[in-house]
Formats: sequence, structure tokens, C-alpha cells
Amino acid sequence: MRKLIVSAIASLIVLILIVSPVVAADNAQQEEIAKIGQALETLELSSSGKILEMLETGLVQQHLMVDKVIHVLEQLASYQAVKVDKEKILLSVARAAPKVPIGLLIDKVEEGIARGIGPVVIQEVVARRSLLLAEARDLLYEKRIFRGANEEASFFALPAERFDQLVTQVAAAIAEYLEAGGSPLEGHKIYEKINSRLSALARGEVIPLEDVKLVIERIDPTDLTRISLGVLDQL
Amino acid sequence: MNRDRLEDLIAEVLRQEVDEASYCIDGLEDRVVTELDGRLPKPSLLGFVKKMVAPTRAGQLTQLAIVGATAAVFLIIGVFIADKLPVSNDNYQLLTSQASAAGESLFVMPAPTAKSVTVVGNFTGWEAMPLSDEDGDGIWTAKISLSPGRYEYAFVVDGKWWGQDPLADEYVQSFGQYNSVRYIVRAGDEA
Repeated sequence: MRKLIVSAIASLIVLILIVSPVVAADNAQQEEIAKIGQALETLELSSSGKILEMLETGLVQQHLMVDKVIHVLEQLASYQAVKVDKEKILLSVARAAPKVPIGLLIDKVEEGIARGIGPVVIQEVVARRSLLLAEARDLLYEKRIFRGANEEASFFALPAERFDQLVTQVAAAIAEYLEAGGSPLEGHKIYEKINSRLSALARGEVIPLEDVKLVIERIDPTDLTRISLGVLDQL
Repeated sequence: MNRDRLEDLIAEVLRQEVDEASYCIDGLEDRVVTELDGRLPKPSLLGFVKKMVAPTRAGQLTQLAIVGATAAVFLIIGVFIADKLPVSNDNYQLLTSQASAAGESLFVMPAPTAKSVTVVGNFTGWEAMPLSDEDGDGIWTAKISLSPGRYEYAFVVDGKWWGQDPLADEYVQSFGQYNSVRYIVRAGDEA
């Protein structure tokens, strides 16, 4: 009987040890969501609940950094625009959160606000970059470069952070090329932009060189023309 | 006719002859000078240069004077410009190496008449970070710690955005304006 009790207690301890980090992580996440919720409340938007839900999914997917989200919400609160326009901008960002890393989108919203750009233009820029992020992610999937959950790269997938970095940089390079008036038909120029950008980041050890090679060897200019035209068609 | 009367008559005739011909010599001197002036060669730049390079002592002295004066003028202008230049190459290299040794990036903006200069970028959440000009020479600087990565930024001089930093690695267009871009590599990896 005593042996049974001891083994039951031991099992319980093991169970607690296994579950407690998960519970702690979950609690931490809930705290972060609560912080975002508080910052969102100050904007008094009609779709706050929906926006928070999408951001929460994004947080679970490791597509966003809480500090950055709170910062952009604070900036939006002091931005001279009507609530509807602020809501549209925020919805554009939040809709992307469950699917792609949104650091690039938040950055553009912050810059637009700092420059005193009108909400319609900011929303256009965010919409275009959001589409490009999705296209870049799909392009990598198409080229058999996948996103894994763990920190270590596996045979099949890159760690989430490294994959997201590639998606962000590829999308940003295409966006900058198109926004500077570049022709989507000149895929080789977009390819060069991506190549030089990723190579520079690899030199700074921001992106592993092996990841850069993976992308550069597998994509080609025609892919880039195709996705650029696809994005411009959707806008 | 006596001798005296004859001399008087001759003198009278001669006077008449001279009077009749006097119109010919009126303004003669002016006419001669004008004629000679027309025949003289006109002063030209080529002539002046020839004179300057002539192997005479006067020519050599003139050459020396001109060369000396030109050198002096250039020297004065050079000193003046060097004093007004934003950051001399040596100064910039020194400042950069100091910042780099401290693991920081140096941001420099020459704005002699500015009242305030800030830098905004994706490393500040596009919020203003002030540059300082402690010695009042019009060169505003800031040293900022940045982890390795790609950073977009612009300077804001008295409220006006200035997106083309000569020290940037590249430029991109954003919202129809330029942003400067810097790639920060790990300390010791600089090319």
C-alpha cells in the first residue's frame, strides 16, 4: 500500500514538472494578450474583439512581437485620423497576423504615422506588403522550404524564426522594388535585389548563409515576375 | 621799288599762302594720332599670355607673381573650406572607429543652421532620437547601439525629413520619399 502511495506521489510530481512549464508559458501568453487588449481599448474601435483574436493567433504562431504591437497601438492612438481609418489600418495588419510575420507591416505603419502620411496611403502600403508576405511564404513552400516549430532546423523545415526572416526579407525586397517604380516583368532585377539583400544580411550573420543559398538556388526570376504581377492584380 | 618795299611784298604773299593752306594743318595732330592708333595691334589675351611667358626678366617676375598669388588664393580658400566641411575624413574615421570600438553606430548630419536634428528609423520605432552638437560646429552626431541587421532611417532637421545620408549603404523609397539603409555586421566583421 505504501509503495503504491509513493509511486502515485512520484507520478504526480513528474506530471506537475511536465505540465508546469506549459501552464507557465500559457499564463505568460495570456498576460501578453491582456497587455495588447489594454492598449487596444484606448482606441475604442468597434472591432477590437476581432482584432485581438487575430493578434492572439499571430502570437501563438510567433508572427509578432508584443512590444512592437503595443508600440504601434500607442502611435495609432495619437495619430490624427478618424477611428474608421485607424481601424482599417489595424485590421489590415491583424488579418495578416495568423498567416505571416507582421513585423514588416507594423514597421510601415509606424513610419507612415511618423511621416504624417494619410491613412489611405498607409493602408495601401500595408495591403500590398501583406499580399507580398503571403506570396513570398507560398513561394518558399512551393520551393520545398518549410517552416518548422522547433529551434533546430530539420531535414524538412527551417526553424520558425529563420523561415519568417526569409519571408520578410524576400517580400520587403519585392515591395521596395515595385514601390520605386520597378517593372514586375523584369524578374531578374528583383532576383538581384533579393540576392544582394540576403547576402548582405548573411555577411552580418543575421541570416545563416545556408538559408540564403537555399532561397537563391531555388527561386528564379520568373517566379518573382509571377508573384509581383499576381499581387498587383489583386490590388 | 626799293628793297624794303620788296621784302614787305614777299612777306605779304607768303602770309597769304600760309593762311590759304592753314586748313590743311588744322587738326593734323589728331588725325595722325587716330591713324596711328588704327594701325597699332589691338591688345588680346593671347598677346598678354605671350608677354607673360616671354623670356624676359619682367616676364619671369610677372609669372612668379601670378603663380604665387594663385597659390595663396587657393590656400586661403582651402583652409576656409576645410574649416567649414562637415567632418574631415580623418575626423570621421576617428569618430567611426571610436563608435565601432564601443559597439555603436555613428550617425552624422552636417546642419550648421539647424536648431534640432534627430534620427528616426526602424530601430527607434520611427520615433525621434536626438543628435547633439556640443562644440557648436554645426556637425550633429549620435552614437547608437544596434544589433546586426538591416536598418532604415532618415534624419529630421528642424522638422524636415532628410533621407539620403551620404554614409548609408543604400537608399530605398518609402511613401514616395527616400530612406537611408545601413547594414550592421557583428563587431570585427567590418569589411
